Amino acid sequence: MTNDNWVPFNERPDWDDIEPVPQDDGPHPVVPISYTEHFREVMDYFRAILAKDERSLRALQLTAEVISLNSANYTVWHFRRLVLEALDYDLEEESIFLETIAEMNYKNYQFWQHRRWVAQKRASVAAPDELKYTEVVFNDDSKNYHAWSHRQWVLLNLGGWEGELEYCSKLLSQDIYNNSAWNQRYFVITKDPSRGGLQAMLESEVQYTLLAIRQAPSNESPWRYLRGLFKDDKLNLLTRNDVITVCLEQLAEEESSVHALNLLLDLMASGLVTGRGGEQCFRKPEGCKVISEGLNQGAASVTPQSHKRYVKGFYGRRCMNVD
Amino acid sequence: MGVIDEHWLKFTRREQFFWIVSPAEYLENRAGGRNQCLSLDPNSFLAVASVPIMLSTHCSAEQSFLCSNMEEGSSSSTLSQRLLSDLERVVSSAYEQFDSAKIKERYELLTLSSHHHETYVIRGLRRLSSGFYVLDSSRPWLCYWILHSLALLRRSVDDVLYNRSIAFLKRCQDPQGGYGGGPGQMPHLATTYAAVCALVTLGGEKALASIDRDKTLQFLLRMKDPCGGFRVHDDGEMDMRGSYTALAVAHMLDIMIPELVENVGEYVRSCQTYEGGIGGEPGAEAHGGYTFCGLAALALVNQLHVLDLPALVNWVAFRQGRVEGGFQGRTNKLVDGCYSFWQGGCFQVLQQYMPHLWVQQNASMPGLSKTCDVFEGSKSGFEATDSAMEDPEEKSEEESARRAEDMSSSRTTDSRSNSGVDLNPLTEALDSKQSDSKSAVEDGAAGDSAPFAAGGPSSTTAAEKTVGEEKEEFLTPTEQVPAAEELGSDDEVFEFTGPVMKTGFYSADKLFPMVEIGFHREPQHVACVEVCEAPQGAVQDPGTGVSGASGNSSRSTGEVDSVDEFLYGPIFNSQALQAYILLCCQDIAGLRDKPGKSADFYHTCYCLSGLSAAQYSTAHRVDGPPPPSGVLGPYSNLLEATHALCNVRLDRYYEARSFFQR
Repeated sequence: MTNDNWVPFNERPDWDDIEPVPQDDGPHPVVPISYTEHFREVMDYFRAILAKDERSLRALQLTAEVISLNSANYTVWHFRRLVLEALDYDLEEESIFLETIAEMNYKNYQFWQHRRWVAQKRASVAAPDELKYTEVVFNDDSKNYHAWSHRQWVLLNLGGWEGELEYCSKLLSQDIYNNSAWNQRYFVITKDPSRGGLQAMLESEVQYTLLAIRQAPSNESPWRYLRGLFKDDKLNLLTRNDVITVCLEQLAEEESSVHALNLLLDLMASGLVTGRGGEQCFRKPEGCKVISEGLNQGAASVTPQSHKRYVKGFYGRRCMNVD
Repeated sequence: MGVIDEHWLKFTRREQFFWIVSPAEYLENRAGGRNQCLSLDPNSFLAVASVPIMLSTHCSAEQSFLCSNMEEGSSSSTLSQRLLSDLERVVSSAYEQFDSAKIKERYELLTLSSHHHETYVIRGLRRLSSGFYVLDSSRPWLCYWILHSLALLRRSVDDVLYNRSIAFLKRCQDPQGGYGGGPGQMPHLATTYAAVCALVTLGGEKALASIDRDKTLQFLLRMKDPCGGFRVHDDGEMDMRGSYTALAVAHMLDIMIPELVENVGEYVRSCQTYEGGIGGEPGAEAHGGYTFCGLAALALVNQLHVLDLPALVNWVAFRQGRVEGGFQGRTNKLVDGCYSFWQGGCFQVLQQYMPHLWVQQNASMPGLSKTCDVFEGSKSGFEATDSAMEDPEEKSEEESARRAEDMSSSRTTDSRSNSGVDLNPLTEALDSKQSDSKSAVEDGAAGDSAPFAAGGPSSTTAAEKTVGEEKEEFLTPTEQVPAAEELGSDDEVFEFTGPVMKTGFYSADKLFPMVEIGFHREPQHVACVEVCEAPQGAVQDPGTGVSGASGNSSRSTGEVDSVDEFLYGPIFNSQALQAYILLCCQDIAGLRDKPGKSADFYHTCYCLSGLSAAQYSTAHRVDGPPPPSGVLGPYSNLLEATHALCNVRLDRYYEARSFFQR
């Protein structure tokens, strides 16, 4: 936070017309922060500029200093946007500024909000840059929530859908457990205007997902994705032998495969009937106890009473990791 | 070696525990030279600040911590997998340590170090090191985290701090309404929520009267977007935090006007993802913090029905770690103590709004009535895998009969809810208190309040607790205690995995299984769930905690069912969550994300809030005390109850509501 080359404002000639404004904390504040002298002075000058509402180049530079000290100060970001507009500032320059402070701000709401603001002004020309930028972030942290939200916003507002599905596949090939990439995949197949919506994508996505499930059955993400594919069309799910088969397969493999059971119970809630002897479908008795329990409940998981048991039995994920 | 042993023996049990769980951190703590800045986890979920979201995004840091302490995962596993199983291993060894301890030591380990936590937070109220500059725009949050933690711990602030807190927050209040992150900063919805919660928690005329309600309403209206969402500040981002904080403030201050509520349902629904949870904005990944925000926001405006609640419950239920007992924020991410509230709190909400859930679950049954047709249609397909099926017809008949019942009840409930039956016990409670104060609850209350008769919760000793546990009938004052076989078979059915201990892997669900606390009843008709509970003498003596609850609560039981509890048993493993908080999240002072992290105010606040929610989830009534078996560890661990939607202490909530309604 301390910079050796930093010159205090009271030693800067171009600032001597400004009377710094101290923070009005009152005589006995609670949660008082022991600011450093540097922090205090910069903030005092910022308060002065803010009070004057001075939208000048030096004000712009001052906001950059404040941001470098505390990038969570949303007031300064807001004021910076006012100054940028007043100065009709070059937004390419602003992008460069954002680059220079990026690394410490990957998880900062204000930073990303500002980035969105700049990108919106630059319009579609910004799309490739923004997409590229989020990819850089994902190299470090492939689940960065802000970056994913930003990327979705860019796609929806500035375009750049080509290659997005492949990008999801690439991230998933690196880490099939990356739920953020699964979520993005769902976003693409439902929102990309060129893909014709979920129905058009359904077949290939089901195949992709089943493959992922067989690759790592304890991975909850593709199971949820699979349910998501049939979210609004559960009856269709009942006709999917491939889906039902994968459930039974996994249960045969591992009787406590909670994800398979979860889906199967949902299927039964939607109307899949295996009958009283249904449990014989399963080789392992534990799995079928659940199923028969579900049947005894009349409707699988979904009566409130059984729901409790259901949660009781099923809370807890990743059971496959245990052994 | 000998030297180490010698030192080892001098350690207290808790110190030994710490050492095993996180040696690096332990050394750091012992050294005492910890830089506050480092220990600060500024990643509070709601904190305005830069300071972002949760642990969840801390992959790289976690990785470096975990990998430095543990062997690398197998090369074939992915990064996510390694992180997940590494944390499981750390937590599991903590539980193993607990399991191998003697009974008395176990009690010590399960004891909430209230005194240390209190000391830790109150110090922050007085002074913060320069490292806290990163939270310079979140100071009302610091006030709230600290004051709420103290309130849950039943500690009050002295007059000096009380007055100073009010004076300081007043300086954060913007002349145009709302509160900023510090004096002179522009108003922000999140800090407005924090400031209002802090003032409600402080309680009393002076604190509550310092809030400019009219201006606050103007501010909320300025932040409202036509699409139904709220921007967090002028020209700021719009996300689920905005919706929740705005509506919680409006509710607490009793300024919930139609303009604020408009399109809220549409906005929140558009953020529910295919997974079942809720994301920060439409399209974003389901996330614990935003899920609580969305759920609570809708509950506050009585529009829970717009969500797919069964899907949401399913998602949240799967967020609880079987091994850890705590909650993760997103699918395949690491458990973090703060989600004890964000995710665990969802259950607290849902538990109190079960009728909403039922309505939807029942509504999904009509799909079942078509079962036979659908099944016939695709029968040939099934036969390949389902060849051993026996007489499906017979079963189906039974089922259809059952379904028909369910459907009819679902229709009834639907129409009831449309015709304005109160499904909103929390927000409407106070408003409807005049309507029916005949106490139908006395029978139950007498039983429920039994543990306090012994001298108040904080003085209830372990021994007393044991006695309480044996007195099973007290737990179910008006209910039939379920047959032993039923309980037994219930458990048996759902034991999937063999005893974990035999593989040497300890998990929360084995060590801390769900306890049965007498919630065995058939689904209740929705019509009977109207509830109006409200302490008449709003303010309780903080010293005696919830002791006033039984006498002060009343509610109407509807015409259909005479059950006089309206809560249903916890729909998650409350014991395991409590275990995670007590055994893994307690730092020497303050609470934390997970073993290996340091305490901070944010995690202290939300671990305690989550602990409170978990404890009271086992109570039979909103406002009622949980039975001893519902509180893990000594009964003195029992915290104050927190309001499920606003997350302020329940008695303070009532006080504020009646203050602003007069």
